[in-house]
Amino acid sequence: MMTSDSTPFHAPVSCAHCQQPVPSSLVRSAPDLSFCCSGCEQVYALLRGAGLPSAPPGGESPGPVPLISADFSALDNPEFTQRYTRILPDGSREVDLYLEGVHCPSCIWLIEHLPQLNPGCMGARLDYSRSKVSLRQDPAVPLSSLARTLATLGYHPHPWRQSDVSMLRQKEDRALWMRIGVAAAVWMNVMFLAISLYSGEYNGIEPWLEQLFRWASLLVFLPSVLWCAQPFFVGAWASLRTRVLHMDLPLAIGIGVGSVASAGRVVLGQGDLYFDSLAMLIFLLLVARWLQRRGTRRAGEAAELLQALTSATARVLEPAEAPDGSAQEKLTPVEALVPGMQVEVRSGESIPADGLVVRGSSFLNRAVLSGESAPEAVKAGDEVFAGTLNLEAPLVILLTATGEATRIGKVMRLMEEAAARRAPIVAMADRLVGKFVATILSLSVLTGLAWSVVDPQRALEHVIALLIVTCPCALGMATPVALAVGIGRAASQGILIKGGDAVERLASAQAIYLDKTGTLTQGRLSLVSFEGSDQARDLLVGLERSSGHPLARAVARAWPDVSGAVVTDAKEVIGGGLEALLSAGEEQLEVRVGSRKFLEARGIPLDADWASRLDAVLERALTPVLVARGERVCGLAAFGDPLREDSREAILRLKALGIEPGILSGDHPAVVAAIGRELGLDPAQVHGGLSPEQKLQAIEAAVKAVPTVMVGDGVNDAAALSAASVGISVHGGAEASLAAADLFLSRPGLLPVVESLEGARATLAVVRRNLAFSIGYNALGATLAVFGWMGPLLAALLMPFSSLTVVGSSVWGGGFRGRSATKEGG
Amino acid sequence: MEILVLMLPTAVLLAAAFVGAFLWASSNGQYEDLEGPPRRILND
Repeated sequence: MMTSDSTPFHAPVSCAHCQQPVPSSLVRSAPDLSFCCSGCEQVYALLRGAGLPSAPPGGESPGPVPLISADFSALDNPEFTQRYTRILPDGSREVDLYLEGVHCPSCIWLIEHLPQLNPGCMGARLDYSRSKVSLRQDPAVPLSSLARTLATLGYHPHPWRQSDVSMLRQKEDRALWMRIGVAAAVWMNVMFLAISLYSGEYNGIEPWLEQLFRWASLLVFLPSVLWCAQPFFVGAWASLRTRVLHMDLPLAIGIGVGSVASAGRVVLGQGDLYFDSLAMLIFLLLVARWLQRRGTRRAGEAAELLQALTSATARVLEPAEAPDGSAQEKLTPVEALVPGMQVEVRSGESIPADGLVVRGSSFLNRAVLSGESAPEAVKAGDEVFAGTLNLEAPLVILLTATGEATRIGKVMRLMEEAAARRAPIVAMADRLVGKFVATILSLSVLTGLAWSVVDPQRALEHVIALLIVTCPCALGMATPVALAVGIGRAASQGILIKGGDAVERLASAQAIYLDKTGTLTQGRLSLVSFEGSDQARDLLVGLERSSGHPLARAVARAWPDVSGAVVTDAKEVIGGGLEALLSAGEEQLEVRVGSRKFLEARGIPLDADWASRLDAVLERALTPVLVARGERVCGLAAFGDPLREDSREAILRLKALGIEPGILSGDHPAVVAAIGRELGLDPAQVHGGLSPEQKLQAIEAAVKAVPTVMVGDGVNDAAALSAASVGISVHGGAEASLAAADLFLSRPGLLPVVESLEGARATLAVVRRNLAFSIGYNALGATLAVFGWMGPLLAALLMPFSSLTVVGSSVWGGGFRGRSATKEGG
Repeated sequence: MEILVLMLPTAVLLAAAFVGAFLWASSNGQYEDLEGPPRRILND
């Protein structure tokens, strides 16, 4: 990348693999074969080498490929093989792996072509909804080789370890699904039979035929009430036992009474049947329940999160030595580690537990704990923590804390506790249920008494009709349908919401704290201002062209059309600057770009004028870079992370919603304060330089006062995210922070956060509207039943009308109706 | 209309067979992943 001659400037070039823009310093002489990063280059080469097209059909570009430098040799360990793989009849092995980074459907194409990319793989099948790939492996080829290929493609594989809780949930979901299917079949068939009976009422029907249909209705209906409706009866029983009024109670009463009464009438050979209304009711409410479950987040299990962050096995060093004097290693499952053991962690592996370095020195990536991915040096005697990645050289570590006692284990525990302590939000519909049930029951009693005076024969009939028609069908659908529609729409805009409770909390939020300035800023270094002549600018561009440093890229972005001065012998001094030679007429001048220290060390002093300009730049919390021609300073460039264009607008919209924004950041306090000032935030709400524990404290204090939203992106924010009323995890965040948060925004910037809040309020308005409609229908039905004007046909008509109204109101009204997600380029 | 005495039970049995197939497919895990198979068809 060090070119010393000027290269012509190109029109923007797209990466041959992912179609993202390629930085001009990486553009090749054949622009069609340029890549934005070595990850993409590797994948392109791999695919081409196997004779496959370089991008999946369907035209969706998956984005730049991350470079994954991890070691997978643990997957070849015989203990792992025994525990996690199965032998198939043909001798091959089957193993399930969880893949990080499966975020788009085109990944299916890529992953399932693994057999063509690695001969050791005989088949690959991706369960897209679970990010789980089932591999058939030729036992002669080590599993680590297949894992390595997957990693090259950009998917970090982990052993598939499913906890008991999630397995149970899966079983429950499946049972519900089967109930829905059966309930639907029953409902439709009962409806057909009912239509025949209704026509018979109007047009006449032979008595034996009528009896046939009546008995058929009963038989077909039985599976629905005996099996499909079970969840409602169980819920109603629980409601009675705990004396907490739940929607299931009136449901169970209505279904129970209606079924028994209708069944009795079939046996008696006469009387109105309500099987169709009841079957419809059971089906619709099961669907509502399914919608609710689909959107609900799983309780973040601390154990599961730990598994996601650490490796499955560790290399424990045995105290006894092998015959050749070297220490013996035993691959042990990470659950079996105890303090006092010594483990070896090679480069590319993550540290399995907290401990002290006994031997070796290396660099670690501590992003998991601190959010900073800049490598940190460690040597013997230093403390290291579970979950961090060892980058360079093998380390021997004496363990001091394992499992949930590690620092990261404690963070996960904090997170779990904070989530559990959260005030449960009582859903609007549940609050109405108590009054509803009381009203219905008293109404039924009154109706019964009244009718037994007026017309005793029909008293029971009217009471039964009342109980059935006031069954809260639409009421039970009101909330789930509105929330499901809202959440589904939000998802198409890149706002992924974990559950309906999050929507309700969002709608009542009154304060919001942003973690990184990165949500407000563009997230990369840019040229903010430049002082100096055009000649100085040309010098800067010319010199920076020879470097790949982020500052150099910022300069290239700032002046894409400037070709810059021609310099020779360019040299980059790490941490200082660049220097080169410029031909000026007959002479060769020394030209330099760099920090004040760099220039002064080369004998170029700063006069008062430039010094004061430099100080002004530092005042603004920006990074100054000086340009020097010969012995004189001729230019000053200021670099910083500028605000995103939409940040100001977003802050105004937040304030318009009545929400007070603040910043809780680990970034340098001066930078944070400057950003707060620029955006017009209340300085009392702007804090920089905070540790994860301090952020947690700040959020807990805030939550006591008003419902508070927290926006963050790292695992180090996990505890604070859980403690907030609503935790929002942002684009680029760690996988584990997704578990702590209620929302995940896949678009960068503050605007999606604002859209989430506005959308939540609109959705809740729809919920209220739905509830109003359903109560209206119930009131209508009840009135008709009380006066004796209710019959099976009317009930069978009222129910779908009320449900359709609720569904219609949810679909044609409601929040999150903005433009669909656009690909964010900046 | 007497034919209905034959048709009705037959129809019910037929419906039951389909429901049985649905239940089998569900417990076989065929409804776990609904996004993958549609896309998979388009791949070659």
